[in-house]
Amino acid sequence: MKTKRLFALLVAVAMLAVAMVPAFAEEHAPVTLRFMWWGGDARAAATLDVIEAYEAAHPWVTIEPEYGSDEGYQEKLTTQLVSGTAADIIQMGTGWMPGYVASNPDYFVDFFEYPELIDTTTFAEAFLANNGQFDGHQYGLPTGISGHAFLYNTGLAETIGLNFADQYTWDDLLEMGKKVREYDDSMYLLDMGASQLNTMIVRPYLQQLTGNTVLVNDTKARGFEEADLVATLSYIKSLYDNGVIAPIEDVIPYGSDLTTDPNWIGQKYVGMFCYSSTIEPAAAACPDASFAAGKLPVAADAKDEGWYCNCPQYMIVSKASQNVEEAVSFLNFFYNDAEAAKMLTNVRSVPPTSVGQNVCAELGLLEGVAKDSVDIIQTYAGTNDLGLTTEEEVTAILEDAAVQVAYGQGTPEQIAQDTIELLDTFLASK
Amino acid sequence: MKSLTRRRYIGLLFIAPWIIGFLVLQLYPFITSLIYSFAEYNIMSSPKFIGIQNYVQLLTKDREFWNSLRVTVVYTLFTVPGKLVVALLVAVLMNKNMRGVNAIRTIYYLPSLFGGSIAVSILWKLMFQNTGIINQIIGVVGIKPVKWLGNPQTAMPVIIMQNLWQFGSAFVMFLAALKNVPSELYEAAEIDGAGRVTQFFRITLPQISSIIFFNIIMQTITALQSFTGPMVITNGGPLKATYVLGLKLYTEAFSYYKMGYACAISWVIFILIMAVTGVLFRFSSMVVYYEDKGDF
Repeated sequence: MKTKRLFALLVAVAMLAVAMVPAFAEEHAPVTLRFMWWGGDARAAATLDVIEAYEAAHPWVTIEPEYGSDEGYQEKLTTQLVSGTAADIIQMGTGWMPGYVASNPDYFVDFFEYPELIDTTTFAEAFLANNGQFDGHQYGLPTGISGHAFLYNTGLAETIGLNFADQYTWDDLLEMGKKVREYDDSMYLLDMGASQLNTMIVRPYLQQLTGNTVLVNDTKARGFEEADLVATLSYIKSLYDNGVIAPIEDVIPYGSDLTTDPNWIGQKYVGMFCYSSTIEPAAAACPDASFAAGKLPVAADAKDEGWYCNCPQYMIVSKASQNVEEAVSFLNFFYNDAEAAKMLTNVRSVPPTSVGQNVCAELGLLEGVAKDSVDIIQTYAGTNDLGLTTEEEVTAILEDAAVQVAYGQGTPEQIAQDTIELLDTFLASK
Repeated sequence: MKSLTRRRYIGLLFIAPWIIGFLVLQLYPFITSLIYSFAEYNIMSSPKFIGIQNYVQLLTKDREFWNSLRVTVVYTLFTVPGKLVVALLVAVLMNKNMRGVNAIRTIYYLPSLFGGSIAVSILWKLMFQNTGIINQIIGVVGIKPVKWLGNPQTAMPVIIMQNLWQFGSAFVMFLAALKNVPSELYEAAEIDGAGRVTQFFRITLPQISSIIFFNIIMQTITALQSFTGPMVITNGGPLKATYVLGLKLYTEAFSYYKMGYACAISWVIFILIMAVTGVLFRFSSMVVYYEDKGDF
């Protein structure tokens, strides 16, 4: 009798279990998401921790990380977007996004269509409107508050008598560079590669000179005349002629990652232009020195300040994803969960959400050069030049022009003529 | 009859993987690239037919193309003869019966196992950095550090050296060819009083000339398509000094999304390779010795 009862009980439990399985499966079918990003080790470790925490809380979700360096990232991303094989969640370069949206906005999910899944009210409304929003569609969510930055060695600056704390002009920068050479002819004021020459001198200098972005998105025309470009390239030439910038042949082998240059580590350079999102690693690469974030150069008669605050990257969800809702939910956790914010801290610059900022403030992370650089960039109101000016081909043309000047291959006049010809050919294709 | 048909089907089944691979991965892209070369195509929207405009732009207006062509030709002119001379010298040295020769041959072949890999190129880049091991070595003998990768004059030799270092495949073929040279020829030459140098130029070289020719063809084709080394080590710089055609093609296609234009470049490279190969074949009968007079 006892055995019969036990058997009946077991059967009942088994039937209940069998009955529950489909219900469970129906509610939470297994989901696999792919998450693609680039960045250094610290960013990768923090992002992996967030993925792990999300998976633990949502056992039916598996997130496959795809991460590495930014080398070839965009090339891979483009082919994946076109072929419909892109990851579900993608870290996106801000400069690339306008081109993708112009080609086909259907690549991306509009986060505003999922208010029940993601809370965008934790972002400042105006910041969100200027970062990742296209014609009212929020295709990208900014990963941080950042912008151009200037990092300088405070010990050297004090010894040599350089002041980057107060606003200074491009001419002041030139004079400060000369002072560095007078102090020690093996030292240079600036460490700059091809990428920095374009983003930190050519573009802001031209913008300040003309009041326009290099290429104007609305008119699809140049925002400058030949004389403006000649003036810009001549300024770069004077920086090299006076030893303000380290010789290009010393720097160019290190590509865009100047923090690996032994001369930077060995304190042979006083400062470098970088971004709020990369300023901490740049300072960390030289542990024996103390650093501060400085102001950025603005011409006395600037028509536009040339510098502006934006974000280092966007997070987007591919519209081709089979699990859009799950991907959006994950990003809600990524941006708005306090535990996730504790893991991510400022690995993508100062967090853009109130949740992230509160957590970083509690942890004492809203201090230091990254935060200072964000505070500084927010004081400038230059025009955002994302779009045609930041397209890959234009970037290459402008970098080539600056590098030719740096190597002394031709006069600024000749190089300006060639550059304008190339830019006009580019514009004609648009 | 039935059995013959069945055998045919089985035969076709065996070669089906190759046929499918050829059709999908070679013939289809080959034909498609020709069609796209007459179109404006940015991958993200439909191609637009523009006739021969891409070719006109490439050959008459794109100064970068002519620079890339020059760079590629220089690279080929140095790597192909250089690699063949090194491979032949090492093969002659290794064509001896000495102790441990097999191990030494394997060691010489090792670099070629890595092929044009990214890892080797990264290693090469690190070696030739301003503070890399090469500058440290030359520093020991009192030579000032050289800015190998930052100077347009020295960047190309670095890329060429990486290619020369990987001479293993040519070396193995030369070694096999040397083994096939009949020993009676050398014995007869010795009796006639010919020295080692005369034997090399009068017997060895003519006997292995078909293999030399084969290696020239293969190495030339590979050199004209070079990509990995220039991409990883210098990214085509400085001042486009190492911006080979393969790299230009890649940049136009995947950085600027001018897929039609890139296809036109690929067809120009193809025609260039065909022309060079044709010229080499045209003159091969003058320098290559075939026992059967070259009849196929």
